[in-house]
Amino acid sequence: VSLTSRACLATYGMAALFTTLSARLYYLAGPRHEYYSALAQSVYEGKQVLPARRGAILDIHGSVLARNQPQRDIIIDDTVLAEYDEKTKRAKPVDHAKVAALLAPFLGEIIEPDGKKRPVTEDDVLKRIVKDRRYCVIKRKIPEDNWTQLAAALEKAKIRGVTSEQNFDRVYPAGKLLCHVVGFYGCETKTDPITKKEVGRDFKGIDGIERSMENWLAGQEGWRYYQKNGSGTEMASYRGEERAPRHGSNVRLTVDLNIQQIVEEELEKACRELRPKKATVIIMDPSTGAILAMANRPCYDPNLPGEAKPEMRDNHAVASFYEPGSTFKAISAAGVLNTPDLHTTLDSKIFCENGIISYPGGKVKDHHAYGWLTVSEIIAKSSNIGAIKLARSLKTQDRFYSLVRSFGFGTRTGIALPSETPGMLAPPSKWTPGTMYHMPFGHEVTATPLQVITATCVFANGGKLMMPKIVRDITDDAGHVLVDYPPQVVRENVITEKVARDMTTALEKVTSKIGTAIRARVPGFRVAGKTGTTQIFDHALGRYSTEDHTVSFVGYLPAEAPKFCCLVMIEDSATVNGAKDAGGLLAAPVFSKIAERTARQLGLEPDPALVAEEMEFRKNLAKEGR
Amino acid sequence: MSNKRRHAQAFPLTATLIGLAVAACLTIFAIKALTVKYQVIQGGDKLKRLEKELAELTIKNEDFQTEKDRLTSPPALIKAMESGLIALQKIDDKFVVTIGREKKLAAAGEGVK
Repeated sequence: VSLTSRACLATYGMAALFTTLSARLYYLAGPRHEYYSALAQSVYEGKQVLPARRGAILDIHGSVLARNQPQRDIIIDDTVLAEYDEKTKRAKPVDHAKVAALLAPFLGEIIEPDGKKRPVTEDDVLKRIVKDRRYCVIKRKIPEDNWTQLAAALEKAKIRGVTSEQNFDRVYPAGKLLCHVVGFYGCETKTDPITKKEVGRDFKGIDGIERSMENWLAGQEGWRYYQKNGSGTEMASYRGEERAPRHGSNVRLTVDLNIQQIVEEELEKACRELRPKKATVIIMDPSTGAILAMANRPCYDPNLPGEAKPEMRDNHAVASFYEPGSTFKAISAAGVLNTPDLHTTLDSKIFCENGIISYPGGKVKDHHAYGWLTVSEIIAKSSNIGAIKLARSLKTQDRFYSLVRSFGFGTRTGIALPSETPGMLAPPSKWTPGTMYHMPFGHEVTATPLQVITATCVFANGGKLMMPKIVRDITDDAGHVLVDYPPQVVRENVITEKVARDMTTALEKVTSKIGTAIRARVPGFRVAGKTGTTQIFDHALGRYSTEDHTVSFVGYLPAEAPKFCCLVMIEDSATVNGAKDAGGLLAAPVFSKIAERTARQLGLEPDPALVAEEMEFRKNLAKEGR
Repeated sequence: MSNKRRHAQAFPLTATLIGLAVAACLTIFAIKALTVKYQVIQGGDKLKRLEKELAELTIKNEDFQTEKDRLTSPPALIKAMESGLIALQKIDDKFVVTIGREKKLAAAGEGVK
């Protein structure tokens, strides 16, 4: 073969080679560019999630009700698990049993399926280590101190491949105190709406403020792009785009933990004595609608939500309704006093039919056979027939219905708590002939304890219906107020100021010698309030029970310038039944104890003249054997 | 052309010096660039270490705060009082001064006895 031919052959060969290489290069840099650049990026670039810290829940004075406790998750990367060999000065594989023995004492306790706790053993750790797996979770949520000690032990033993990840536990330092209001944080299972199968889990507020203020508390996690070196370690100097996390805000409640403590103590004492099915106490500032305390029984510890039965988690103050009974008579009377064309005053006399009144299909009885009573006596003595006749003087059902609605019954109050129910108030079109003979004294209508106290505050604040408020403001970590929640008036002039004053005068008589609640009196203060006793419907018998009752007392003090309003509701006492199961006998004393201590806590000054008068009053009662 | 040749030096001193100067500049630039890069990496590592330390301190602080809140919560204080860890002495009512009353009396010019 001639030299020329060989040269030609080499040239063609080279040309073919370079053409092929060029084509390949074009293929890689052109059509496959996106794929390979993404592949390269995934090797040298990573995205780190920057977690947001959940905000705290505080009481009005800044005492912590819920916050985070940092915890650690212990992780083993089996591909790099090794120990340093002093002889060879190199890393050598380490026995899993040795690592397990080192780790186990620092891992705390484990909960067995039967609920019993026991310390973590070496076997538990060994079961968790999967050979050649890069991410083995050994134990979640161990205390920070344990991790510090474990890290020191690993350092001393020169073992690598055991790391930790930040986690946190939601802690409720006040325990059962205010549990229904604060709620709790936990894991909620997400299900597919069609297949109803579990599709994932979501950590969020499950109940109470933790749930209703989730958007403020949760914050928003951030992220950061970074570059890694050959060993996969972040090169901090080559950080890329970054968005800082927005930590959760702190939610400050209107609740005063000191008053809450008083309420919880007195409620606990009452419940130990009466053993009711459920009980509720609410304290509200009538001028602003701010909730100062809210407690329910049964209750639970939000630190251990798994141990709470479903009925323990119900916030009865907003989620349960009951027939308000005689506390409703004040609403009926106020409506009549507020209607100028009726010309009814506190001293107007009403004939109470000597204790029995009939209507088509039934009859209503009073507990005493009353004849003529003034309006204030009807309230003080709690006459059912008096209340009926007052309400019927309004002439039309629509008028009475509008009156009841104007006090907030039949609609949600709008408080920032989940599961609030509007109660039940049927429109007049669905009323029976007996409705106007039952509703005026609080039957055939249901309301939540919160609705009842909100309506009573109308008398205490001069005629305004306030929106109950449980959240005072939202603040950031530095204490700057992000959102303020000022008092909100739902309805101005539900009744006139004069009628509100008149009603206070009438309600004061309830705690006088002639009234139903002498046990609600508080030495040194004028107390206005109303008792309520309703029979509980027995589903087994198909009629109202004569033994079991829901008893309540709602009142405020000082009557001349009310500073707080308090409602006590006790349902179905196991120890007291029949005639003794009455609001004036069971709920009123609880109110008295709570109100006395709350007044002291709020710095209200007892009037010495009223204290002396109270001593005299009690002496006289003792003489009369009451 | 011939004139240039006549004056040409036997050793190209100027060109050599220029070459050496350029080489020196390039070397210094390269060393500086490497030093800066090293400093950037070192700075980044320091930043990362400080970030980690700050995060650890923040976590420790939060841990202590939570522990403090737990220990000073009403249930914990009640427990401490019941166990005798905190011994409180009851204040007699005669030593209690109600602020509201004091102010009212002062306003009325009666003073507080």
